[in-house]
Amino acid sequence: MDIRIAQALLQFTFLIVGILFLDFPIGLLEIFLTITCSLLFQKLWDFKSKRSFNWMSALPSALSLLLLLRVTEIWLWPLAAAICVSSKFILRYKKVHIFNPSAFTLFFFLVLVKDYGWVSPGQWGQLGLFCFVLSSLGLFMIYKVPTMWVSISFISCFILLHFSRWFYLGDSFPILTHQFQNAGIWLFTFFMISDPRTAPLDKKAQLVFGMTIALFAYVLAAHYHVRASLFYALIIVSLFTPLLRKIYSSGEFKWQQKLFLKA
Amino acid sequence: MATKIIFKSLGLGVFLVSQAGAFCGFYVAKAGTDLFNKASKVVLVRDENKTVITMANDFEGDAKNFALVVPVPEVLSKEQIHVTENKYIDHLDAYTAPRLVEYFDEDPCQTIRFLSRYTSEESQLGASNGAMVDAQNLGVKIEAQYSVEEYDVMILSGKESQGLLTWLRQEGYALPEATAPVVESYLKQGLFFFVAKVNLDKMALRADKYLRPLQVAFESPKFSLPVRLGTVNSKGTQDLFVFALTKKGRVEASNYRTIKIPSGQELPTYLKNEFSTFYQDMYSELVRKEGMDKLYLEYAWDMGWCDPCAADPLSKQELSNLGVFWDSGSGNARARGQNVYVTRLHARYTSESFPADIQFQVTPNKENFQGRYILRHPWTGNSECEAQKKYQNTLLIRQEQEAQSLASLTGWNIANIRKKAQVSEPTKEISISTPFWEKLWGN
Repeated sequence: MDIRIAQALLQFTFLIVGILFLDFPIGLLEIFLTITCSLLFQKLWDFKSKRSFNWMSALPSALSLLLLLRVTEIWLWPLAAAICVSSKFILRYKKVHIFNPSAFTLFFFLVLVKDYGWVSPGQWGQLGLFCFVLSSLGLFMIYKVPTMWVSISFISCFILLHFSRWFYLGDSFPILTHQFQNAGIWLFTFFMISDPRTAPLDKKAQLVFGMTIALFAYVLAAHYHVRASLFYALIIVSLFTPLLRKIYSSGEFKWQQKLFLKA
Repeated sequence: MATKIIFKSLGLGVFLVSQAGAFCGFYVAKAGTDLFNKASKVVLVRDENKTVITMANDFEGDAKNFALVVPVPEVLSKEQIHVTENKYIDHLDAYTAPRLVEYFDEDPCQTIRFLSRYTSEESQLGASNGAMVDAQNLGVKIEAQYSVEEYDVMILSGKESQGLLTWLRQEGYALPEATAPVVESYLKQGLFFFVAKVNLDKMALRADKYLRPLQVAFESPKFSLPVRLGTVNSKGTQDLFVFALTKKGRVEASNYRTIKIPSGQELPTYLKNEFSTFYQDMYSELVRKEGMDKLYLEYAWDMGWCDPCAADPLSKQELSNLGVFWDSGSGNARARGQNVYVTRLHARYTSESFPADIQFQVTPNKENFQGRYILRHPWTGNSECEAQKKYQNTLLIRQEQEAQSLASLTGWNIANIRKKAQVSEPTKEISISTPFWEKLWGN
């Protein structure tokens, strides 16, 4: 099984968990609109650039949107899907897209048009066990992709920064664990920043990439009280991916290099 | 100074310097109001980085025993501190309170006539609620000191928590030892402490004996509620009501889950006189099932209107008194406030369930929500027709369903509910989803 299908299946499971147990304001119509429009736009762009239909690229992004984005009107889901897929074909540098498409879509709604969408970092609540399962599955997933060091360096650095702050402030232990019981952080770690198309491939570059995202996210949250700081950090740091690729040249990743999970 | 010191655990860090036992009975039961003891009530007005916090207190003891300690992000000038009236918060409380709606079934034989009306019970849930030298030695700096109406206010900074705590204790602020790490953490985060006591001479000049709410206004990206001072030494649970007023839309917590209370259920009509008890028990049951680590959304609505109204929307002038600083309507001060969206959140928590301060975010979500419960009175007229028989059948089913909804919402005993609602137990013909074992083994 292609790893992106495994990823999409897991994301879909998380979405179902969210809808059934955590009151995610997502219904069948939202799911239908977002997924079909994502696939439709992927097909259109692929047709325009004379490629074969790359539906496996559009599906995980669509599911990421459904997991993370919240919008004020139903018709914004097709728009979000359009932005998500189109960003891959428009915002490019040396034939590779710059931003993780779902992270860019969140950025679009949070920063560029502020009154139509938001992210609910509190939506998962504190689910220690769920986080553990999620991160274990995530670890298994990224073990198969060449960008696993992004996830590992990000989360290590992020925990270290929060641990240092916690230690310095002398806060109680539950304050430290509280924030890492949020499934959103683990989803971000294992299902968003490890995207091999937008993260650098060289191991050193991956370490720099992951740690910088952690640092930006930490500073934005702790010092500037920005709520969805993870996504802002990813967008900012992604701007430097071409530079990282240049410094640590390792070519471009192609899914055709194939990543299969043993069925 | 009072001789005995007692720590009272209100959400925002309201501390009492009081006689032992004084606060056991200070929530005087008023008909159907003040349902939740030990509740704090806070109004948060927020737009961009600008925040106005109104802290209500229903303190009814001796004014000399009242003290308030709240961390604030900057040294506030006198103009940033204000005293408002309780009536505005009471009105906001009434406007946003969960409500009971009443409908009357029409004559089943007369299909055209339609009549419905509602009543609302304003449940008003709640919330109802020579040193200079030493200071320097203890590393405490009095950044500012003001007399604001009946309050004496100081803004303090400190080098370390012990010095600040020692000094505060000397001044009669009863912060227990267990707050030291929390105070230390706030100091390290660069926060200042806003402390207030009642100026007894000025209080004596006032006609009413109730303390009025204190307000602070500041500009900071920080949008959170420091609950830790209040939870650190408290064994029991606390109720907190947050009324958030924004231009943009709903407010939610970003580090805890925010979920809606159950709403829209049809319930037995006898609840008309027991709505307060119902809501208290429903909330307790909800918290028991869902947990204390969440905030519960009780109301989210555009301030311009309501349907049905538990109380009229607040006027522009009232909103302005609560700290709404943007233009919220026409020049007419009596006009309804517009361009203001209100969110009412209710939390019941302990130090374990809310370890960190509550962080909020304003979202553009303007979807309306209200806690609303329905009483549907059966038709009691004497019409006779085919439809009447059918109506009677569906009525029995409906009444049983109402009883079951009530039992499930409150955890009350279904047999008692049936008795009170005068609903006979369901027979076979009335197919209700009761578990098969209910009748087994002579249950």
